[in-house]
Amino acid sequence: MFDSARQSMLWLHRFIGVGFSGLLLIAFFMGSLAVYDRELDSWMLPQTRLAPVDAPISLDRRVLPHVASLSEGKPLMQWYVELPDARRPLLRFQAWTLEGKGYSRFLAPTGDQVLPDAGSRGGDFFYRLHYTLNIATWSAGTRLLGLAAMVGLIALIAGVCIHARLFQDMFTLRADKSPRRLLDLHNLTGVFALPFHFIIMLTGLLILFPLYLPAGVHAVYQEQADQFGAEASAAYRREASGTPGPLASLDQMMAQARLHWGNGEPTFLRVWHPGDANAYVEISRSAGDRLSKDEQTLYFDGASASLLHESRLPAAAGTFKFLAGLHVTHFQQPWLRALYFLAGLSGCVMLGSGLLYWLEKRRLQNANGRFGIASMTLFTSALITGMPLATLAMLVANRWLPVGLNARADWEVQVFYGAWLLATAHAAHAIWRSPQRRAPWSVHCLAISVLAVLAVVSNAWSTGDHPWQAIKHGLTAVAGVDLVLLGVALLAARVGWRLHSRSGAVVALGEVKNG
Amino acid sequence: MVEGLSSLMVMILQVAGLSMLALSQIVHWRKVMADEAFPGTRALRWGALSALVLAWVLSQAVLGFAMGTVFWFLGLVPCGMVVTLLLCWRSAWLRGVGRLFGT
Repeated sequence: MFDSARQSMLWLHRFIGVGFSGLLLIAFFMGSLAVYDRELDSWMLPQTRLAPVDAPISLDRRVLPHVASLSEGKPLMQWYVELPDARRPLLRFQAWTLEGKGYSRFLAPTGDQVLPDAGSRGGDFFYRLHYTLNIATWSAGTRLLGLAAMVGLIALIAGVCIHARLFQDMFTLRADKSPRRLLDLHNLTGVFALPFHFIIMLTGLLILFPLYLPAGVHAVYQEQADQFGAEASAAYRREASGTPGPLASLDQMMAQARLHWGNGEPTFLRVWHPGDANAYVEISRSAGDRLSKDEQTLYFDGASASLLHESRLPAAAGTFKFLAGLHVTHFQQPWLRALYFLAGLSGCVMLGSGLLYWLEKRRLQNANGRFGIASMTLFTSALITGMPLATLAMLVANRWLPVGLNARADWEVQVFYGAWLLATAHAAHAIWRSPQRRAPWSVHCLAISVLAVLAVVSNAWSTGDHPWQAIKHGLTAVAGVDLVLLGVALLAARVGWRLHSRSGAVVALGEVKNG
Repeated sequence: MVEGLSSLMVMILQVAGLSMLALSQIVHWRKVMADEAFPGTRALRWGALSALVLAWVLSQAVLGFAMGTVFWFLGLVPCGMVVTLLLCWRSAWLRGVGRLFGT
């Protein structure tokens, strides 16, 4: 079938690329946005825009007195707080009742203020979309993305093997040669970010390995898969006694934890079986200053505040937490986070340029076009410009939907999918009309530009926090999102205008030839 | 502030190192330096290696071994693209790097 190993690898690379680029593009684009999920929270949830507070926070005063009212006085299995950090100057309270009902609210770090209900899923929507595709049935979205990551790794290795001039072409971009420039862009982004792409797909698979490879866990733990998780993370568990009991000072436990870790800061505190004599408190260390996701969790007795257990991870679990930390980016270093964001976008460029190169080559080989080319053009258009359009439409809707709207967060999600569908329908219409089966790239780019500007203006109009004002008030996350949106608007306008001028020139040339 | 400036310095060193690596290919040298004699690959590649190692050492000094190494690898993405785009559209801007090795 193939004359050489290189040819077979080329076929494999193309087959996987065409078949799975769509899923990988969603994962890379949404994953890149998820790097700044808390900054997007701040932009999409204006009620959470508070200036950072330097004063230490007392959980005994700030949270404990409000637990009953925040959870409607129901008996709880657990409640927890995420503590403020450099990226989110807020406390996040969550509680779960014995029946499994959940409560979630943001609290201001000082004073008695409980922030109003969110009315938006914020950055969490993009984060969950990047690894679940929002398909919960049988975890089908996560399984599909797992398959895409696995074959993506194979495509990456095959891509390196078929790249005959890997070093010679390392800095080569033939911008004036089409479609060669697309292949150059595909190779450049693929080669420069090769370690990132490899690690991010591998760790993406590793994080969810119990879902993808459950047989080993089931063989050892049978029906008690939770036990595996508890043992792997060296966690402490004890059941509720059924008799009431007091809860000692949480501030005292946090002080003990700080002393135990040396220079570490707590990031998360959970109270198990609150109100029970067997209550215990779990305190995790912030991973903001390192790569590993190992939280070095400490467990305290709820009644006496004495240390019950320190989770010391086995070597394998420690390695796993390090690799998981490389993927989930819990560290706070702003420059490293920016590089993760850029590397994620480079993955999008690699996948997008690969698809476009494949399309252009097919177009040259079949000058009159065929149904296959038209459908692939629609597919790439829906992904490359449709997905950013939908994202921007969601941001605009976030600022335009009335605050009191019932199920407001669901409306935002519907706008996202609606805009994506609309962009795809528009692309289908344009491709069907065009004799060359071209996607409406220029129109979509110009629409992206308009929506990005509209999002910034809407934010300034509805909250008064235009970029300059946001910087003045210390809201760097809001100013950052706005400035990135303006950058996107400029870039998309430039690309859209160039494509529009070029298509005009091509039409004029066609008229001269036909005339 | 210090961390930010040091991170910027790491990336400047990476751009310098990758520029030398690019110029060590005769095609790029001719595009940037026109008629100036090619100094050979050895000097340029040693220069590139030194700048990139220095960037790696500096990133570790600032961020520690693990984070510094990840920073260095990820820094290659924007720095490599900057060098490529300069070679493509503003090749004259790399003349300064080439002159360091000119005869």
